[in-house]
Amino acid sequence: MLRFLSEHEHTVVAAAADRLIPPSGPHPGGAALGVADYVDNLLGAFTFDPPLIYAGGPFSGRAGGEASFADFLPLSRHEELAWRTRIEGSLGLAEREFNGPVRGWQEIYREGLAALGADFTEVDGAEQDRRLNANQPLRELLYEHACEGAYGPPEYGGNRDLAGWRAIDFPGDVQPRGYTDKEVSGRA
Amino acid sequence: MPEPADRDCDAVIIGTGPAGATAADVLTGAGWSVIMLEKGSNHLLALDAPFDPLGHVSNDEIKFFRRHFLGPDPFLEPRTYRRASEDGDRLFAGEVNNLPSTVGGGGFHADAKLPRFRAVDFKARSELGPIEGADIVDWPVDYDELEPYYGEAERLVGVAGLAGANPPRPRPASGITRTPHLPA
Repeated sequence: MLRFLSEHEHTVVAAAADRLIPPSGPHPGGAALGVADYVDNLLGAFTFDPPLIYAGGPFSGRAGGEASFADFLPLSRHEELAWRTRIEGSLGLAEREFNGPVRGWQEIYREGLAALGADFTEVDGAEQDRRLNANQPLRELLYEHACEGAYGPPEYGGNRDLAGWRAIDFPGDVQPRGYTDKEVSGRA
Repeated sequence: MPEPADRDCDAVIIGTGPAGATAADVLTGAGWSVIMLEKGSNHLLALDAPFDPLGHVSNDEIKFFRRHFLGPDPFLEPRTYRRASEDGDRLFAGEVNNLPSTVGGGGFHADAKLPRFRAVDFKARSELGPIEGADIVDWPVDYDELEPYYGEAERLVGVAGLAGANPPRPRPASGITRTPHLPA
């Protein structure tokens, strides 16, 4: 179930993520890695309780221990103010405008995705790149989020089947097992 | 000094970093009742017995590197920077090598490396200066006066290392000669 993006917006984010992180040989690109799910979880973080901002710990269960990353941590009031302002924007609220008005990520995505055009998923890659480059606020934000979604812990919604970590030969979180000799030195 | 009957404690320490924590350790060791105030979240141990680890720390690059879990969040507490008045109010606002702002302060994620001043650093004006246009002055104390306090602070914070491993520095007369690394 999508939390913020519409079905159409979700397909546009996925297509754009594939331009920013293209598939390469056996490795999937941003679309198949779940970047659009990651972005939807982030933009809709406050539709969850606790919000999907800080994953739990100490272990994911992938290298032993009890799996606890999926138990997201409650936010302090201070943290909630920061993350609601980033995501929702300042919305004219005094407590969010201590440093001036803030345009939220939800608005940047909603307007930016619309500006990419209703036919974005049907035009060729060169045209998709041209439209993305003409829309820098969205492109810059999406690039950061695409990297996080592709290569971050999968509990945030991306890095599907850990294929992002395989693509960059990164073992991911290894606690409590710790790194093996081979992972440290390259030798068994 | 009159002593209010409803006084909650003997001392209030603002900030729970290495400075506040060592001060609290000394004061409570002398029998004082101490309250510590900390603006950041607690991610270390439960505040009630048996004080279990909270388990908030994890190998999660989104949480720590992208979302500022240990704070300060540069969005709410940006550092600002300018070189000269021509730069206006600020040239930059954001994250500049921020140290943790949690219970434990900068010590939450630290390598327990506390370099001492060298003896000459206390005598910058008389031994290296003066420099025209600069307000360099000697410190009102010298290295030898401060040396025992360096040693005490290093013991309390848990500074590790080998005495004499850094030859240009004065060999500590007090303090730690070698501290075994603690298990992670």
